[in-house]
Parts: sequence; C-alpha cells; structure tokens
Amino acid sequence: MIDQDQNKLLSRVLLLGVLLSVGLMSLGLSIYFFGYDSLVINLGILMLIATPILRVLAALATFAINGEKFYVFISTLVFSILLVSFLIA
Amino acid sequence: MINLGCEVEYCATAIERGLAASFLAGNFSGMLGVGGGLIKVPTMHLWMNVPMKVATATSNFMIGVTAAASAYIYYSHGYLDTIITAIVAIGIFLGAALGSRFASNIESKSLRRAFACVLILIAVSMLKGVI
Repeated sequence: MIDQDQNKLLSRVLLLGVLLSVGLMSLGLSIYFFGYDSLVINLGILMLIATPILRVLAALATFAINGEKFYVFISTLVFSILLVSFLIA
Repeated sequence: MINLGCEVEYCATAIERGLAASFLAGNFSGMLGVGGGLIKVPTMHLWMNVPMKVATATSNFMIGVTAAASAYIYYSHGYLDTIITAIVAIGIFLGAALGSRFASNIESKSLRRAFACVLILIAVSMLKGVI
C-alpha cells in the first residue's frame, strides 16, 4: 500500500495545485475589476482542472515505484479516460 | 476531535452495485455539474458498508478527478463564465477548508443528518418554480 509519507506527498500535489489556482483566480479577479482582461483567471481555471489530473499521474508513479500492478492498472485506466475526454472535447 | 480510541474495521461490499451507481453518478456529474458526491456518498455509505467519514473523504477525493473529465469539455466549448467561476471557486475553497476541519469534530450521525438536510434543501430549491 501507499505509506504515510507517500500519501502526504500526494496530498501536497493536490493542495499546491489548488492553492496556486485559487491564488491565480484571486489575483486575476482583482485586476479584472481594475479593467484588465480575464487571462489570469483563465490560467487559474485551467490550473484547477489540471490539478486532479496531475494527482492521478503522481499516484500512478507512486504505485509503479511500489510495484503495485493492480493499482497501476486502475490509475492508467483513470488517466486514459481523462485523456479521451480531453481529446473529444 | 472525536476519537473512538480504536481502529474501526470495515470491509467495502457490493463493489459491482457501487460501480453501477458510480457510473450513474458520473453521468449526473457531467450533466448537472454536481460532482457526483450527492450520489457517491449515499452509495458508499448505505450500499457498500463504508463508514460515513470514509465515504465523505473518498467522495471529496474523487470529485476533482470526476469533474475534471467534464469540466474541460465545458471550458473548451466556452460554456464557462470566467468571473462567476473564479468567485464561486474561491468561496468553495474557503468553505471546504473550514468544513473538512469541522468534519473530524462531528459525530458521524450528525454528519449523516446534515447530509440529508442538504439533500432536502437542494431538492426543494430546485423544485421551486418548476412545479
């Protein structure tokens, strides 16, 4: 199984991604109200969408390092489904 | 923190039924933008023998991945209102940071009641105006 330290690392990926995207959105929103366009907000939104995908990749790498084939298979499946949904978008 | 002083053992059951319900949850998630949590939590807790807190934690964990699949489709089609998204996202982020800290201090029974109240509130407010 994934040990405590690896779990912490994975949750860090999520937290960092979310913090970064909320930061970008807050910044973007405040400059938007001063008349700038919404580019920074869009970056924040894209970051928010990308965060769980990065997390799936991080989990996939962790399972691969631990040699857990079944969970590598599941993570790959989840990642493929995400990839397909982006490609058909 | 409610500490039971012991490790609670549980074993998830009815995996097939759970998979079917999750598929349904995914469809609703994509269509209605609800992230599927409203369906996933009762499915795990009532059907799959998963403790309430584990169910909410697991649902929280999955929602991002579930929503990402449909979010990009909507985003790339330009269905998103950028400003509203940013405002709502910041609000949700603050609320969720608080809520997840509260959850560990709340008894599972109360958590279950709160969940039911939220479901009723949402149902009533969504039905207003259409019936």
